[in-house]
Amino acid sequence: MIFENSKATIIIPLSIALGIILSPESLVILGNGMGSGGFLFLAFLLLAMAVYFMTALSHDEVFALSPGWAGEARLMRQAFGWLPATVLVFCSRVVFIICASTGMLATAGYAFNEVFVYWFPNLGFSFCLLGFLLLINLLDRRVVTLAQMIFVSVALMGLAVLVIAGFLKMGQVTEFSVTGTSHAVALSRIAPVGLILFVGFELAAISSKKKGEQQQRVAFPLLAAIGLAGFIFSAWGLVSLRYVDMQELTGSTIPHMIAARAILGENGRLVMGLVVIAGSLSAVNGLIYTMTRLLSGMARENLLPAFFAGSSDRSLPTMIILVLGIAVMLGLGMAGKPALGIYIRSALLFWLLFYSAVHLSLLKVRKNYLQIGRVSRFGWRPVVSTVSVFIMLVGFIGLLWTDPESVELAKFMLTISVAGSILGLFWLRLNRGGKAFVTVGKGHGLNYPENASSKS
Amino acid sequence: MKRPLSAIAKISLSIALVSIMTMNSAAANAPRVSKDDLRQMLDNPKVVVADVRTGRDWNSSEFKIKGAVRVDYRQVVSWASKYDKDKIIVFYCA
Repeated sequence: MIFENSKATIIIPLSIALGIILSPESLVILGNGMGSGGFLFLAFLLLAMAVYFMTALSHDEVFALSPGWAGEARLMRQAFGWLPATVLVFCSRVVFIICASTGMLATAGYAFNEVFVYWFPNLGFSFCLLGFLLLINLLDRRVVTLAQMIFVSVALMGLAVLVIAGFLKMGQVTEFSVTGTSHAVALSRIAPVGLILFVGFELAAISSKKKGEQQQRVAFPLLAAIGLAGFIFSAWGLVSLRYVDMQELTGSTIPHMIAARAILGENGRLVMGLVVIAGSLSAVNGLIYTMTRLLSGMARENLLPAFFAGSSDRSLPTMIILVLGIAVMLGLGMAGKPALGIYIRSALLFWLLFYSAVHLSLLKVRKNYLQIGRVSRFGWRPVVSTVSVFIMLVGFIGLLWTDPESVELAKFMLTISVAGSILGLFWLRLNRGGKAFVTVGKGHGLNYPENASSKS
Repeated sequence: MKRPLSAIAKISLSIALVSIMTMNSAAANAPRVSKDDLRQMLDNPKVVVADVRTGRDWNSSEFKIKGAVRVDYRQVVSWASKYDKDKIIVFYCA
């Protein structure tokens, strides 16, 4: 596998991972979390970072053993079967890209309307951003990655300006209570919130140049992205805590904007407005870029209909479908519906299950790789996988249990998992006896026949 | 196989576009108050500003009108009876 240069193998996936992590959604979650738990939330954030470091190492192993854009799905199919692998990807990532992108673009539209140009309709700006992202994704891959680097750089610089200004001015700030909570907040709610801040980082591994070619050195950019994001979250969280009362941070739907205003006044608003727009662009662009490849790879693995494979490495039909899905959601006014929040949170919870499934898949198939000599020893890896599964599942239960709309959330999760299963079984029936089952070859990185449990 | 998929895609796209246009046209029929007129009305004790924004329309907006009451537009019956009939209720939406 030959790449353009060694820096591109790190910077591109790093910018994709950071772009997805540092979205406006994360800033809201971070602000509310800091307001609820203060330094305690920071401690849980560091714990979440540790879990994701382990998850990054597991993903590095996954893509080493099962290369290709659909490496994770292929491994999960081998461990649990075709249907769970496909449904889990659908319920987590596909639902997330459609729903979260709708929300983020709507947020960017409001930021533009309220901070910069009040007469420009916010929804119109959201559509402009979506059209712009579609256009650059239709162009050469290098344009997409360059745009991604620019979006992430703008977002990072904006946050850096605010953080530095915040720390420089700290001596002039009135003391706020940061040692305790101003109201009772369940520990069970604060603790797992940090887990959803880093969701999506591993999509950066699906950013190789050519179809089927796997990104080398995936561990370093993934670990670097988590570390850098964790540092930025911690710094921004501390500064926010210093300038804004905890109760205000908890109760606000725009804690990042309030903090920016408190730090630099009107200039702070302008900077944060830029951060929100750039952050939305980087997150949605990263999702479109990687998800197009993922679904294309899954189609080539017979995990999805061949229609999604596309004829080029960009899989135009898949990209159009994803963008159209977002456009329809925006056009139907879903951004203004409370249900969108439920859809996004359910996708995030499914994503935690996805991570657990990846770890479990490794635990299950590692011994087979050991037998055929693909790995020399296990070492600490099974421990990493086991601990990660445990924490992810505990986090999943904690988030679901403490969600204020837990019943609606559970209902929606059940609905889309059943819908995904029905669609999958329908497609499987159409392809019965044909191409539904993968033919494992050397090029897939799996050099032994699948066992009976992996066949649907 | 390609023809049915192509037809399904075209039909879906058409339905989506019609839905979008229908939604937009429905919103355009409601009588409106300009922001300048509303600003002058805010000191009037008879005026009640009901903020009916939901979802991102509320969450992402930095601006909330001073003194506005946040209500659920889907449950008008439950909260409308709290106000006298001579009150002027201005709905603030996205």
